[in-house]
Amino acid sequence: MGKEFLTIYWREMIRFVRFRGQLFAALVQPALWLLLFGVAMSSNFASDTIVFPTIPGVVDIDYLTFMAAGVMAMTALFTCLFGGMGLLFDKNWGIMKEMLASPMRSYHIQLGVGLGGVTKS
Amino acid sequence: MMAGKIIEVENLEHSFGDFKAVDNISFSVEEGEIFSFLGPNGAGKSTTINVLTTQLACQKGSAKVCGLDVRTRPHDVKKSIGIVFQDEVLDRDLTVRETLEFHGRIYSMPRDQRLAREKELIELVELEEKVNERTKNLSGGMKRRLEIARGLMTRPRVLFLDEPTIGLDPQTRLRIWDYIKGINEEGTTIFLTTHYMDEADRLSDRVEIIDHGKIIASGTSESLKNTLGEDMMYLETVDDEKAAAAAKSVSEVSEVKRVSSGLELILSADGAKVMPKVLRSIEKEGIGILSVKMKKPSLDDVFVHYTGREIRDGPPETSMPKPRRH
Repeated sequence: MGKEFLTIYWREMIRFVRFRGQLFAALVQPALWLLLFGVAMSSNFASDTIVFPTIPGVVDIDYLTFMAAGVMAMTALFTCLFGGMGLLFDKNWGIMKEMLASPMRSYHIQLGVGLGGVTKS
Repeated sequence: MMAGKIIEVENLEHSFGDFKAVDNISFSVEEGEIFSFLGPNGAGKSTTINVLTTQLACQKGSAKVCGLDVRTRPHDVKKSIGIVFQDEVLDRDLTVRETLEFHGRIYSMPRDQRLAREKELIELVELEEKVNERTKNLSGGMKRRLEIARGLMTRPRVLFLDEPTIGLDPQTRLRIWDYIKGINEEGTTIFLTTHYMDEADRLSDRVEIIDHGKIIASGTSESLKNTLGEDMMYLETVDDEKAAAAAKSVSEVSEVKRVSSGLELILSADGAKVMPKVLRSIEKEGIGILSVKMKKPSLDDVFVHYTGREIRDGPPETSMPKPRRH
């Protein structure tokens, strides 16, 4: 097995850093979610949830912790979704053709793009 | 380098649905030559290239590149060829250097060789000043030069050029021809398709004309031109019909054709000597001659002779077939 997938990954990273918007969104969006829905709404929820009794045996966590887990999952989901869409653009612009015409095995493309998606999220 | 057949195609057939893009063609290319593949739009040129470069599966018949069957050893075939695609295939957001670097890496070139080749090729295509420029900011000619440079990164044994000079200005075309010739002299076999007949004429050692998926003429461009006769003569008269009959009576006139502006005569002997005879025989009939023009047949004439005059739309899917494997 060669290391060609690292090249695909390298290209993904160049594009990631080069598109400031994408990088910015990836870093700021989760923080925004947490701030807006987490901090702003937690005080409201706090007054509502106080009326429910805590179920015995269930660990009591505060709303922000609950929110953070959700935001993390959502960020991972969306970045991966957009990461995969990059493949679609490649196909459209034709770079896919160059990759397929090379002696590189095609699973390197999947691996490289996949790795790129993982890093971005 | 030993001369031998580097590309061998036998009874190749390829269809898109019901449409037969390539219909039972056979040809071969000698190692070290520049081979031109000509044909009108939708004739099957790109399909053939796509099969040879393993972009399309080989449906029927056989094709060998460098002695390797494209059907059974596509991976090894890919290692020994370079391709410059018909349409622009560049990542708009990578720089010139990154484009070459990316290409070298996916072809698993060793680092030293890759860096040396990059430098050498950027100089060759004179893009030194644009090394760190993103490709979307380059002009059409620069992009094309970059694509050709990329095709040369790996020093392939066969370089496929699918209409490399399409849409370029004469200066850039001339320069690209020079590169291509230089590369060929270094031992790379060139497989060229083009619509520009002068290009094929100047560059190639051998020419093959394909139309409707079949090869209809092949040979050196000289021999093809000679099949059209020594000279061509264009006549405008007051009565083309009668003049055609009169011209036919001259033994050196091998063919008379009516074209939109008058008559086209193909002469089997030196035109300078035949012309007075033709004119005399027409004047004897009392037909007024309005204008006369004579010229050597060009590859353009050969092309039109074999493929006719009507304009082709070309079936929509042939020039850019969808990759089948993904």
